[in-house]
Formats: sequence, structure tokens, C-alpha cells
Amino acid sequence: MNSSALHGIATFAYLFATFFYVGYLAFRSRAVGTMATTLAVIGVLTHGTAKGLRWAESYRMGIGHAPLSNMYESMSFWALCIMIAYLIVEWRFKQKALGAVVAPLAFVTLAMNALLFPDEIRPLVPALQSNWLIAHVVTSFVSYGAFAVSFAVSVLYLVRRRAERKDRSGEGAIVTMFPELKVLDEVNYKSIAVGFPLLSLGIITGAAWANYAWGTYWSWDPKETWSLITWFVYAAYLHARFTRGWQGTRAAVLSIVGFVAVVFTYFGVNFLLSGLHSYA
Amino acid sequence: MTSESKTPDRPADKPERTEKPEKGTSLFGAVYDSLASVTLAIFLLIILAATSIVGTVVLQKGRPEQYLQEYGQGLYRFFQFLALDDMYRSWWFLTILVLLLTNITLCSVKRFPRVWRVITQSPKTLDEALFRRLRYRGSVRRGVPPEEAEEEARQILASHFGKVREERSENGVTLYVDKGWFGRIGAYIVHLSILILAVGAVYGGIYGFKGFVAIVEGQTIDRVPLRGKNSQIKLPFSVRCDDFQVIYYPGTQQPKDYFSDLVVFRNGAEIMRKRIEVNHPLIIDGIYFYQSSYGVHQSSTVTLDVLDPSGKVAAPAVTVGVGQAFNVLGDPSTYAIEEIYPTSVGGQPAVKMNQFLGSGRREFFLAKAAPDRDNSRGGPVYFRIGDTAILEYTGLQVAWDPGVNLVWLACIVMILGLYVTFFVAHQRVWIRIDGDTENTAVLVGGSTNRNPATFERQFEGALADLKDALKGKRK
Repeated sequence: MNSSALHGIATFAYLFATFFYVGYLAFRSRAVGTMATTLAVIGVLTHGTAKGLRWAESYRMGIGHAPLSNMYESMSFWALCIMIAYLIVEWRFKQKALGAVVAPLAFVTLAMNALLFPDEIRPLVPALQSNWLIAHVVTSFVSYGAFAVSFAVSVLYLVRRRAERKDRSGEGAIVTMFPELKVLDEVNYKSIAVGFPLLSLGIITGAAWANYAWGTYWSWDPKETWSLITWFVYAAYLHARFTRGWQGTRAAVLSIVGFVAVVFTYFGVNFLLSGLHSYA
Repeated sequence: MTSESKTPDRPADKPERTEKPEKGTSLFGAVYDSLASVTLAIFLLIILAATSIVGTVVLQKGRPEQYLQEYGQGLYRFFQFLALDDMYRSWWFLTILVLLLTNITLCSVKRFPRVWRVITQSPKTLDEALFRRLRYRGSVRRGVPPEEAEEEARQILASHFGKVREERSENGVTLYVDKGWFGRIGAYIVHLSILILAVGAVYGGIYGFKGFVAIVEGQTIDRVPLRGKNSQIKLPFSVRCDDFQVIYYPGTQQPKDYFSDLVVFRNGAEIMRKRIEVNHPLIIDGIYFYQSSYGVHQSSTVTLDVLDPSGKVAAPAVTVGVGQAFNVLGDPSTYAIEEIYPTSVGGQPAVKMNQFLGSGRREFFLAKAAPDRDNSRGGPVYFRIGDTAILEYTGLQVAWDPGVNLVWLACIVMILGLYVTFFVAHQRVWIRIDGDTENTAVLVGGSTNRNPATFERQFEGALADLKDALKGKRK
């Protein structure tokens, strides 16, 4: 068994988890929900093992490094962070509806990864040979995982709120399976409360590393700038919650905009813009 | 964490949700109020996020011809008008940043005293009025002497919440716990850190310098041209590069590392020697030297032997540098070296050549490790690399930033502030015990500014324990 095969199993576990989470919403069956969670947990365990195995494989090849060094490895790590963040929320808040949005996100991330990027283990380019690598990538991607959850919650918030406004939240409606608006709002805030300090740490470790490798802690490189844009948006979200008129819907919209900025910081900068940060 | 689902218990615990003007109707008051408002902070953050995008799309600090080629005359003039070609240093972007800093400062100055009062003037006794205002509360009446109830309450409070303090009044004794008060000032710590960051960045920007210098192997420099300026800085020491090397991952052309061996001299005496590589700079007097680039110096030459297809010398050898065109007797083509690779196949030099014939151009490679491979190109003559005189240079970024330590301090303060803001709750619990020698009335009340669900569990647990303990004592 190698890490690629395990990545494949994890991808399918997330796909089937998606079906079961959606099935849980549609059929309101406790058994289906339990299956969904079981599949998600199996996915995370296989996925985690795949990451560990890939790390070991790189050492066997004599070019040992943490599996966080290019697009393939970081995408996989992101999907893992998303699922772990989600499972924590599911366990803490006893809510499964979110899984129907988050599990497909993890599935699509892994599937795209398999289609778009080579999974070959490459030696590290000199710029990445640093102890900052793990600290910078782990903090950044755990924050991205938390933001993915806040994004999913915000989507549910807007859908449920719309349904309530239009009075389509009667007995049989699927939105009644969503957590209540108050709970969605709280989970949104808590995910961002975890994601925002970690994003700050990710930016700070990146700046410290840049200062050591490039001679300047901030150079308005597109990657740096977009991470700061993301930071501004979530900072706006956090302040919005303290101001009447900015709570609820507007906060949910800001949270979604924040996640769009996350995705652009991660993909858009690499594929559409050019800059120093060309590894992932 | 603040929760909308459970409203905090006392008015003072609530975040400010209304922004009513307080300074009356004077113009100054109105301006002050709007500059100190959270709404302004939200708008400025959104505007900063939106405008920052421009500089990631439009080329920054390019040369005029780059803009003209890509965007044309009209658009370039527009960019210049709005300083979009260097927007992060433009007057309007800096104005927004200054506005944000002003907003952060005024907002904090306006709100902090109120928060500080909540912390320092926290009630020490639990009277009826306070009890009614609290969200978490309970009461117990038992036929036990107050002293025994007090002892039980003290132990339970300590085991559930920590350090217990007490206050005695004519209404009996109040035992209370007040912890995590700094959770209330987390946001102000973060605001302070942003101001420190700004000071560090501005200070470093004004007094520091950034430059780039290329040192040819064996050469010594003591001046560094500054980046983006037509001036150079004289260093208080001199730096010599003894050697530059690239090493590759075995069997590949992928660089594993770049090294420069640097030696530092002051007043003619050697004071430091270090092999620098990417991620491992040389630091002296706070000045950093970073491995940034490398290349072949233009004075480098390669001697090419000219051979006929049978391997005999066909013409005298030529010694040329990059870009010098030359002809060979008996061959109508013109040749020139396009690029020299100091360490290539087999760790030996190689060159990229251009062959011009009529209007045609053809590229080919010569490697010292494969002396006769060029024969397969086909032609009246072929080349073989003979002696080489290749000088490499190492490209070093040189930076001195006296503000950088303030920036790191700001970062540490910011992370501490964020941690406190989101993960430390200001929790207070009061237990008042009153009664005569036979009967005791106990009032229990609690308050938290965030994470109400966690606090509620703790509070209810402590209350249940207290009820059980006093029940066991009943005579």
C-alpha cells in the first residue's frame, strides 16, 4: 500500500460521505447520518495515514521533507484540515447538516488534486529548505480549514434565512434539518475565531521566513497582499459582529467573501498572477 | 466567545452595539465620533481589501516601457495619475492606512475606560440588585449554621473556579471568584500591536536600506547600490566572495543548493567568514547578506577547439565571451556563445551556442564532459570546449532594517492579544452566605463575557455540588 493508493481511498470515502450526508438531510434517518460520519472518519484516518506514509516515502527516497511543499501536497493537506475542522464542529455542536456542504468540498479538492497535479515526490527547492516551512504551512492551512467550515455555515445561514423569510421552512422542508440561525451564526463566529489567529500566525511566520530568506518581511508580493486582503475581510467580519445592522446576513456575506479571498490567495495567485511564492 | 444565542447578563458586559454621538452636536464632536466608530473600521477594512487587489493585478514599480507595451499610452497616464504603478506607497493608499490607524487609536481611547471600569469596579458583594441582574443564579436555604455553609461553599468554589476571595458586610459574607479579566482587553492589545507594527514599519522604512550587490569570485566590495535609487551606501566593513557554487540533486539538473563563501574585513583585518546559502544569511552589525541570485560574469571566456569530422584540428582555436560573434575558416556560418554554464554535465562547464546562416538561426549545446558529441551536428567543422576562464558572481541582497525588532514585538503582542480575545473569558461567580446560627440563606450568581455554554455547565455543576453538600449537613 502506498500513499497514492491511500489518497485514492480517502477521496472515495469523502465522496460516499457526501452521498450519506445529503441522504441524511433528505431522509432524516439517524442510521444514514451515522454512516456519513463513519465514512468521514474513515476518510480522515486514511488520509492522515497517506500523509504520514508520503512523509516516510520521501525519506526512503533520500529527499526527506514534510509533505507540504507543492500544490499536490498542500491541496491534500487542506482537504484533510477541512475534514478535521468539520468533524470537530460536528462533534462539539452535534450538527450533521454541515457535512453535506463540507464533505463535497473535501472530495472536490482531492479529486481535482488527482486530476491536475503530479503526485510525484520531488526534492525541495533551496528556498523551501527551512524550518519555517512546517510552521508556516500548517498554521496557514489549518486556518484555511476553519474558514472552509465558516463558509459552509454561512451558506446554510443564507439558505435558511431566505427560506424563513419566504415562509418555506414548514414541517417537511430540508432547511428544518439545518441548525437554527443562532447556532449557525455561532459556529460561523467560532470557526473564524479559530481561523483568524491562525491566519495571523500564518502571515507572521511567512513574514519571518521571508525576512530570513529574501531580506524583507513584507514586499507586497501578490501572495502576501492577498493573504492580507483575506485578513482585512475577516477583521471586518469580526468588527461587524459588534455593530448593529452588520450582524446576521451581512456577517454571513462577509464570511463568504473572506473564503473567496482564501481560495484566491491559494489558487488564483498561483495560476493567474506571478510572484515570488510560486511553490503552492 | 460572545454568543448571540445567550445574551450576556449585565449591560456592562455587552459589546457596544449602538454608536450614538456623545459629544453633542459640535462639529468636532461629530468628527470625533465618526472617526472613533466601529462602522468606520469596517468600511476602512473593506476598502483596504478591495483597493489592495489593484496592485496585485497591475504591474508594480515597472519601467515605463513595460507599461506602455502592456497597457498603452492612455491607460499608463491614468495609472500614473492614481499612482497605481506603485500603489502601496501612493498618497491615497497611505491616507487610508493612516485613517485606519487613527480609527483604531480613537476607538480604543473612547472605549477602553469603560471596559477598565467594568474590570476594576467589579462588585465584591452580592446584593439583591446585582443578583437580579445576573443571568446565572441560584439560591439555597438550609438549616445549617452559616460558618459550615461558608466552609463548604469556599471549597466548592475553589475546586470549580480557582482562587476564592471574600468580602464581609452587614448582609453576611460574599465569597467570590474573578478571573480572566484580561479577556476583556484582548482587542485593545491587538489594536496596540498594530500601532507598534506601524511604528516599526515606518521607522525601518525611513532609516533602513535595501540594496543588491553582485560580487565576482575573488572580488571585495564595500559599497552597495540601493534598490530603486541611484545611490549607494558605504558599508563600515568590506566583503569578499571567495567562491560561489551550485550543487544539484544527484542525476538531475535541479539545484539542491547555492553557496557563497564570504569573508568580512574591517580595517584590513578579517573579522568573519561564513558560507551563506538560501535561508542562511550572513549577519553582521545587523546588516543581512542574503544569497539571492548568481550568474556568469561578462568577462568570462571559453576556448573552443575547431575540429574537422575526422577529429583533426581544422582551424586555430577561438577564445570568446558571451555574445561575441566569430567565423571559422572553411565554414560559411557565424557562431556566438549565448550562455555559459559553469557546472553542467559531469560537474564540468557547458555552453549554449547559436549558429547563424543566412537568415536562419540554430541553437546547440557543447559540454566539456562530452568532447566529440558536437560532431553529430553535421557540418564542415565541430567544436570542443578547451580551456575555460569562467568567473561567476554571486548576487546578494543586502538589507538593514532597524525597525524589524519592533515589528516582531508587534507580532508577538498581536498573537497574545488574539489568543486572549478569543479564548479567555472573564468569569465571575459570587456566593453570599447570610443567616443566624441555625439557618443559612445562600445566593449564588455568575457572569461571563464569552463562551456562555461552557460557563453554564461549570456554574450549574458548582451549584449542584453546593446543594448536595448542604443537604448532607442538614440536621
